[in-house]
Amino acid sequence: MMERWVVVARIAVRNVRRQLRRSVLTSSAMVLGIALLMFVRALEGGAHLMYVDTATRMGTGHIAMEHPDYIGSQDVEDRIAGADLDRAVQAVRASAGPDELVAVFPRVNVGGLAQSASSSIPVRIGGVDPTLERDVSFFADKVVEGRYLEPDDRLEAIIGAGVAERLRLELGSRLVLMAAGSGGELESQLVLVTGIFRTGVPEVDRGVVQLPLATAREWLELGDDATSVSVILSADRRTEAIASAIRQRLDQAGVAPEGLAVRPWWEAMPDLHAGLRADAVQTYIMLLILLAIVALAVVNSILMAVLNRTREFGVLRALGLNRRSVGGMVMAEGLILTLASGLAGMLLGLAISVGLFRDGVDISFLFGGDVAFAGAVVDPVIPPAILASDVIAIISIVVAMGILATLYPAWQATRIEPAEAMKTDE
Amino acid sequence: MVLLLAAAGAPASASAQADAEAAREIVRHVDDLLRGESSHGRVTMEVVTERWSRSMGMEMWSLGQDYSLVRVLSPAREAGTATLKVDRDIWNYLPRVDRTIKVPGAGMGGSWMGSHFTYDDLVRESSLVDDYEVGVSFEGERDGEEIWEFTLVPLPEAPVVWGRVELEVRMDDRMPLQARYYDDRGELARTMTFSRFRTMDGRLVPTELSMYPEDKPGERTTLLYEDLEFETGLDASFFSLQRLRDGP
Repeated sequence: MMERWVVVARIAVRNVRRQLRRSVLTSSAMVLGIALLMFVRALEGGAHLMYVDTATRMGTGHIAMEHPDYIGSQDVEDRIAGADLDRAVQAVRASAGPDELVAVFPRVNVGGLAQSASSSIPVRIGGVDPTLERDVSFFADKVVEGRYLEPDDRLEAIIGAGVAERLRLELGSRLVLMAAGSGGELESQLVLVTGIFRTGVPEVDRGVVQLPLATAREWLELGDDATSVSVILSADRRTEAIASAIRQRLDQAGVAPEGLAVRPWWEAMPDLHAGLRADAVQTYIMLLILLAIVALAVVNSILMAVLNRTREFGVLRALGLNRRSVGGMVMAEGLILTLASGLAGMLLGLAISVGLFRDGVDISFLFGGDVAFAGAVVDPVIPPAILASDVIAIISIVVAMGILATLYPAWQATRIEPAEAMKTDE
Repeated sequence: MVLLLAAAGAPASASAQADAEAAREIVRHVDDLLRGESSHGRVTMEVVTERWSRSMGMEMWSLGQDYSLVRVLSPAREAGTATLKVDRDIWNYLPRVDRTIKVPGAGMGGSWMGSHFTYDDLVRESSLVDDYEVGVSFEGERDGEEIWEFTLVPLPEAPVVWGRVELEVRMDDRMPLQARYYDDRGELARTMTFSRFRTMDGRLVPTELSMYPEDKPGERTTLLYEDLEFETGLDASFFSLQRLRDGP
């Protein structure tokens, strides 16, 4: 039994090789289709890694620790007490290796009002520790006027370019911030504009103000408390594992999960996560439609190959090969063809992504050289990134395509009657 | 509440030579005149913007700087709409949907009832003399009246947005005439004028206040006080959410 299938497979391989021109033509569409899928996903994956890096460095971190209710209430009432804060930082240091941990810092984040002599607008106010955040802060990189916060700053603040525009502020301007403090009462705080940043994200540029953590704590009467602790890691790979290690250590240290929630970025920023997934799904749907068209072409050429060889199959049947073996032979031919071209396509995609564009694809020509574009920060140079999940998905697509594209031609081949087939001209 | 007028009843002995302490005293007097103890009155608010203008009749109650309640009487479409201020919190009541809404911190910059005043203008509690250094920048006759012009410069860490404020006060009865608010570039941002001085319930007060925002030329909000009574005997329990909904 086994031997017969080996023979069938060998005949199939020989058939593919004998009709080399036909085989190459059939597979080239598929090679290109798979290569395109690979390359587009690599670009998209690279862009997504950049989004995540940017978003985490804006302050949430790869892992965010907050009071469980804070994500819903955004109220300083739901904050982390100073003692828990220390334990949280210790748990982070114990859970992430020194190579993995880039930074861990407390934050005071509140919604409030920014007022100038000309107007007032609602803003997100961040109390940040300049010593801990300076090297990782996305904002520090994006200061276009003035400077980022420094350790000795007290009344200094940095604001988005949109905030500066709407409130008509310039460096040195007075800005009054108002937010609800620990007692629930609205408190006002004067700050002086010392830096203006432009991230390219309109919501951030129009709505973020940062001041020193110590000033924010004093202003809102928070003592040593904070609203969140952010953990920045060197890579996103072990985020999940480190988060659960932190949870375990906090549990051992007696910090109840009701008092402190440990969230990886995809839980802390569900919008971003959903956006990235929707983006990937959209790409797959588009490219699957393309690949379905390619698959039809593959079906067509394999079917033609079967119909052209009616006499050959008739002879094989007459020599004693049964229907299943003939069908299996066509199937094997198709699968060899599709799997080989799928593999070639993936290698081609990989070669394009890594070989040709190792330093990134410069898409700035699309935006006239400006970096800002609809709702997301994009460095115009995207380094492609090939993710394991994409490789697995593409392999599955190739196998599925191979099976689906050869089913019908194989069925056709099984229906060939030896007597009828002998009558057809070669 | 800035909008409510209630005289503090400080003796009106004008000192001809206003040194720093006296200047502070006069500014404090004017400030108190505009803030006051307890009061109750009717006021018409006219809002004129580039595109539309309208007039609203309102009834107001206040107690010190912590409590106030304002209720719209006319036009009929908006009658019953009310605003309650307790300490630094503000609630609005919208009768058409029967909802009481607390104004969040981030909403304090919003316009109060379509006027050029923001909610924050209503809740400001600190006194001018607590936040500003007071100096006399002019003393003598201007536009036919003997006045002082005080220049108020914010103290280094005072949480105020203005770069400076100029306040003109009439010498003979210490009535405010004009307040000009400048941003920190020294550009005029808004002007408030006080006029139609009347004696109401035994006190001399300006009964017409207008606010002119400089960035919207031709626009203004004017408050006209029709009657006012002081020392009404209301206590804090009057200013409740229940009263906000149901009226007095």
